[in-house]
Amino acid sequence: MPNLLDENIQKQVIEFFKDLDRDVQVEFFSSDDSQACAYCEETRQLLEEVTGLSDKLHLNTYNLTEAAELAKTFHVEAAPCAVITAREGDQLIDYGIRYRGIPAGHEFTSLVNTLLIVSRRDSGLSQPTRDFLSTLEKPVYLQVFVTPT
Amino acid sequence: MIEAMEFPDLANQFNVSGVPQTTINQAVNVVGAAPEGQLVEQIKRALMGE
Repeated sequence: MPNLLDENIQKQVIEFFKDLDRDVQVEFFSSDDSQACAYCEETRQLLEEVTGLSDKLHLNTYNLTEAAELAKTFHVEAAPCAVITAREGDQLIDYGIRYRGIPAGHEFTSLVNTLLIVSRRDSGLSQPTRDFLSTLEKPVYLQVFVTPT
Repeated sequence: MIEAMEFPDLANQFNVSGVPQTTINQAVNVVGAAPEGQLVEQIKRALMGE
């Protein structure tokens, strides 16, 4: 398959990635079943191309069926799903970020931003928001529905 | 992030008609862009409704 990211986009992303700080680990759960998962292969390729643009970004790809136990620990139910974690040595810190489906179109920008945020270990949220979030007594579950266009 | 076309069952379950849609705790839907302050208010609303 030809590159999904053309040279121009690659250059822009590399420029943006100059602000990366610490290691990020993307755990990607895929499926061999192209009937059940039409965009798994394309998503994997996109993630491979993006993470290939910096040595601070790392990608593991798993087959959802074969890695069922690991998927369960990350609460991954269906492919394609990318878990974006902070890597500290052998440890992965899970901030609860999941990309379900291909982050194409506008969502490519979201993906690149997410990688930067996780790498910098800083959400960029305002102090009042951080103060409010620190009062939460249990996790809040946000599902952001998007389409690639 | 959930790509609505790849996960139509989830999109149906949460009545997604326009994107982006942010669903909070599977109960409160915010349709359209959700700036930080507004999202915080909606999270508070969702928590009060529980």
